[in-house]
Amino acid sequence: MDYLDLGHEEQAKNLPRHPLASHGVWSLGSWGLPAATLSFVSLAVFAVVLLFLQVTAGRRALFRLPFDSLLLALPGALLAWFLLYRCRGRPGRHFPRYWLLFLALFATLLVVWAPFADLGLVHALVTATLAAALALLPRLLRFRPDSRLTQGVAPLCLLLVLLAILPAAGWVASRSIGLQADHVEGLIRRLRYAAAEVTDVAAYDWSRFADAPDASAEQVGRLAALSVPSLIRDPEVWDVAAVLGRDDELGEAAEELLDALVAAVDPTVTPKTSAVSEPAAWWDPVAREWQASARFPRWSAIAGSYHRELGRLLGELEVGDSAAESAPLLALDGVYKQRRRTFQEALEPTLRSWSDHWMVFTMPRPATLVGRAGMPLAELLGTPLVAAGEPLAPANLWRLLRLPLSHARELNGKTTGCHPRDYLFGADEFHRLDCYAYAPGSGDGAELRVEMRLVYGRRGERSLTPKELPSEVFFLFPIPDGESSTAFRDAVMNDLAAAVRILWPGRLMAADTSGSVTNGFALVDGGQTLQVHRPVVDPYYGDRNALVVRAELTS
Amino acid sequence: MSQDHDETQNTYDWGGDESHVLPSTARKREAETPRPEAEAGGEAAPTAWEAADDDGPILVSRPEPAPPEPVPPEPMPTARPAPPEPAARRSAARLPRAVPVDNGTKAAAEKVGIVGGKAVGKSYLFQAMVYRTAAGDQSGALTYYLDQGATNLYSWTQSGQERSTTLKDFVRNYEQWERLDQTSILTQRWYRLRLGYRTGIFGQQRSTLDIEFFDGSGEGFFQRPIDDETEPIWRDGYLEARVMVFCLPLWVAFPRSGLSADDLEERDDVLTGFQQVVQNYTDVREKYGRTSPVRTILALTMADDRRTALTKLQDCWVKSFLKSPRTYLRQLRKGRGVARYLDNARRVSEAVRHEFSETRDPMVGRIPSSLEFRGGEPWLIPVSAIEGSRLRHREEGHVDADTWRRLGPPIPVHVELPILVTLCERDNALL
Repeated sequence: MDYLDLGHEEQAKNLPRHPLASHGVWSLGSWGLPAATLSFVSLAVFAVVLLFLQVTAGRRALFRLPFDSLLLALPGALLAWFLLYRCRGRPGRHFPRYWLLFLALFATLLVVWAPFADLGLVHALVTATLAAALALLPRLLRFRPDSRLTQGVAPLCLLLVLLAILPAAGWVASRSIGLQADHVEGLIRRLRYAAAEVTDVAAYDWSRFADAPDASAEQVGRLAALSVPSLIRDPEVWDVAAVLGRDDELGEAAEELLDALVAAVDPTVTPKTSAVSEPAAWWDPVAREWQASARFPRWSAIAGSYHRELGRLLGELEVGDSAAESAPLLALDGVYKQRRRTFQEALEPTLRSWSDHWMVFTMPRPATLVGRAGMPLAELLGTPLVAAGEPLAPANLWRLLRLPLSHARELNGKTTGCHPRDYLFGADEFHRLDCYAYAPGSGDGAELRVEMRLVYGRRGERSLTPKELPSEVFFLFPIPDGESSTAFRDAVMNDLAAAVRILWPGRLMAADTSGSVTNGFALVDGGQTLQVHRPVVDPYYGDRNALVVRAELTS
Repeated sequence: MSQDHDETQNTYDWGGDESHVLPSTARKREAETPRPEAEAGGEAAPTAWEAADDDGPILVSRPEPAPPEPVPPEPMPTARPAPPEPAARRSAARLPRAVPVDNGTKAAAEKVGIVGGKAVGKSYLFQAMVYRTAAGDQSGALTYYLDQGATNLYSWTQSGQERSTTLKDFVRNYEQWERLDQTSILTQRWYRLRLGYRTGIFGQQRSTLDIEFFDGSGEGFFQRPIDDETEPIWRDGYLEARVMVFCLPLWVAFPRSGLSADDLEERDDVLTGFQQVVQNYTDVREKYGRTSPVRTILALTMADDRRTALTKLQDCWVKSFLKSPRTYLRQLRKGRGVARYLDNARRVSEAVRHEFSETRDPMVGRIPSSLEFRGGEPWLIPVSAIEGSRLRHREEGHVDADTWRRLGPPIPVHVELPILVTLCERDNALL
């Protein structure tokens, strides 16, 4: 070529073969215009993220955002609506605008739904929707037709969003699964620990608990420190455990605790007020007044708390209505109900104990546990003093007043909450069998509800013979604070008369013309009359009064 | 208007048929014919058909003895050369209104400056753009966006009266391969091309893009240094334009070896005129302190012209399209086709930029950088508004009328890309 010739020498560098030529992998982003490719990328991101978070059973059930899902759903919806607003004036085909409209509406639905559904699917949908909206962010940019980004923005966006979202979602999923696995593991550990603690506390020598009240209180404190997490009733936790393959283990741990509770409530191993040597109050013959025991409140508090904590733990294991929501939870509910019946059976001796029945009523919701909220007085007065053998109840006045002294002495050790006493009053010999029944007090302990004395000996009779019959049956009913003595008297006398009627089917007559038993009543059996005298109100300890009722054979 | 032509039309070898080459004697005679502009001192009149080499005829211009006729209000003036224009007639009173009266539409007009020197094909380019956008589902890269049947055209006469222009009338001459007059200062006018497309959340809302174009005289306006008369048009017509299309024939930038003296002389004229146009635009921006970014496109017109050295580029970018236009137009209806088309347009632009960097002519080499107005590098697009060799053959009467009708209308190549750029600038159409 002549150096003066201005003719150009064509370089022809990287020319396409024709206007619509493909360039293989380098045409990756040219399968659509950016609005469409970004919409497809957004759709793909939505699908990939959702699939990523739902592909395994673990993630499907356990994926949870580390915060309220609304905190992610709301920005997702706002971003989608903002994009829809900004892109509403763009020309072009329908797919990009319809996808954006769908995304905005779906994100709004999630905002409404998320607060009410703490499900793995909802959390995954919220995450996928936000990721899909983020993938559309480049639509806010402005590209020119000759920009490399026109072809590259969609693949680049897909890569960047997935690189940002998937590891983060994976991390959250792992953390979420780890946290929930920890929850299950923690729940199993706590249940097993509680079972071990209950077993250990029950193994304590409670027969001598009154001798070591500090150590005994410490044992009860161990029970009080236990609790069953409410997660045990959460169907989702059981689903999580099932996903992790630990539902059987969790069920076994709960069953272990139930078994331990049933064993711990066995009356042969429990602390009892009937076992203590000192009643709640006693008559001081020197000071001629009632004295409150300084030690009884603590003893009764130990015994009451022991039962209360066992009842609480049993209640905390109750599955309730949520059982129907999960098969493993339903199985646990079956086990619970079976163990609960066993627990109730184990409580039955205590409930039928004249002196110790009150401990059952320290348990939470006794009405559902034993069918009543408290022991009716009439029923209490009909409760046998002896666990087996003698049908000897405080209301069985005929039987008591005809009980020879020798028989009374033989009851020593067989009765619950009765204390025999021999004493001299002047030169006269007396014998008494003092029996105490309690009720749950205002605090942790118990307070005296009824004291019954079977009194042998009379003034002027120097000595007692084995065939000596009781001179009287003495009842003392402390009047509850704030209750009218008259009303209390009426209630007590009516209950006593009712209890007597149950145990003795003979005639019962009112002591006066009123026809009411509240002023006393009499029982006639052949030639003998048993007189229940008009009750009197005597001072009790402190500011309290007590109702005193005496019964004796008059002829 | 129709593009219902058959691709078999391309079986006729227009450019390489030696039988259509003008006799050398005729060429010589025509070359010796004095140019009217030299005589009248006015705008360049058509000169002659000249063959660049023996391979075939090349359209440069054509002498036209017919006297000037009154400028019709519409359609676009065609088939008649502009008369030599006396300097005395160049008055502001004869310039059309710079800012057309709005016809009531609420859509803001998007000004697109299509500028260039004399005989670079500005009017053909605009005519081809209108033809392409009005072609329904054969609107090339715009088919994806445009609402069919929503295209309209308005023009402003010298009195400033706006009236709707029938598209069919406007493009009829284009379809019939009628040669356009060179735009004289008397026939300058404004055009507003209104394109409709769907927007809105549900895609049911119709929006319009109004593109304003000033069909100015290359010699009487664009190449003329700015003075009191031309400045208002530069100011009102181009300062607000976000997209500027600078027209320069591809062969002028990249001539092949062995061009005739006339071709070289013409090349020098066109290049000089182009530089003056760029200078005018730069000056008016500076004078009015405009710093807003302007997207520039260097439309390398007449890309089918055989006088260019970029034959490989011509083959792959222009001739391949001309060989099977319907195939390409069909693929361009889809987003995938448009995306691939833009990808290749970018590659072609980069290739042309590389050619600019390798050119021997320093005047040419600095053209891309001179077109940067804070809007980034210019997009370099070889385009063909009308196939020059066919136009020449028709005018020479080598083909009978029946054959000509069968062969169909011209095939504009890549002329819609500036409109796509405008759509992107205004409505961010790609995203």
